[in-house]
Amino acid sequence: MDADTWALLPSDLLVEVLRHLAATAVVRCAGACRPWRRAVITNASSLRPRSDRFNPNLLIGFFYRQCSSSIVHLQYVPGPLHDMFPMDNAAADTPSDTSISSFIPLSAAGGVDITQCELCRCLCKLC
Amino acid sequence: MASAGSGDEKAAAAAMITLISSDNEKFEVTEATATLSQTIRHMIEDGCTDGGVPLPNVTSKILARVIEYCKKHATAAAGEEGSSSSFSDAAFLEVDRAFLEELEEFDDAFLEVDRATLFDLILAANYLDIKGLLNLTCQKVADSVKGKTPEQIREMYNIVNDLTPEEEAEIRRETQWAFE
Repeated sequence: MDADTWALLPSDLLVEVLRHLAATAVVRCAGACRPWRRAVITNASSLRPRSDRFNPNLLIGFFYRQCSSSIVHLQYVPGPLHDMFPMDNAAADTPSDTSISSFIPLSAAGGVDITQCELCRCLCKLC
Repeated sequence: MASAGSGDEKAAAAAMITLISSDNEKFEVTEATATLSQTIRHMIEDGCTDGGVPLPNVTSKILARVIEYCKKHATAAAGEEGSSSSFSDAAFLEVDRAFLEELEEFDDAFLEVDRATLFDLILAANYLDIKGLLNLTCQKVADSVKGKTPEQIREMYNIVNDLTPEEEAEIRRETQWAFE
């Protein structure tokens, strides 16, 4: 079979495949090649899982790291349920200039959240 | 079918559709089989199937496989509709379960194909708009990439890595961080 046939799978069909996968596997597929990466990024919102599997309103918060920065600095973003729990140390100390309203949490699995924000689509670690 | 077929069933069985592959091979199928494809169903409804249905996007090799799938699943659909009156509920459920198991086995065996064929089946299922087949083939690909790294996915699907070393390093950092 020719090289790159699968890289050229039409993006709507790739999305059909990705619909069967959990967030972590989708992210790994997005790392395979440029067309797949583009397909995942542009179709992030249609990869939203069924609402019974992930409820963004139950997020206490999450950490995210700016894709562009090489320094590993996790920024804490409080979620809708943040105030329900007493937070201590690191999370509370990290100054946050970002609110949940600029993110659209899409999917979560194994402590990893896929979120669409205004600037880019990013991976977040749930807390 | 255990019971004598109704007039409708006979009429349906008599209506044959000719499908013509890209390499000009002709396949005669029943209307019940052909209409698993929404694309062909619409053509039949519009009355434009006389003289055969040309399918320029599908080779004879792939069309033969697609027809094999449709035949099996059309029989399944007919069985569900036709047998309900001839069996008591319990017996019907029993038959139903056995049939579903058989169908599942058929699907598993059907998917034992190489990656190139799987790719062509996805394209054909999409073009012919056969929901069940599209779902089945996409699920197969999804299952095969589960738990795999980007490198393994590339290797499995013969995908050339066109990402710059910088992009790749970024992805690696992302995924490493994500799966710690």
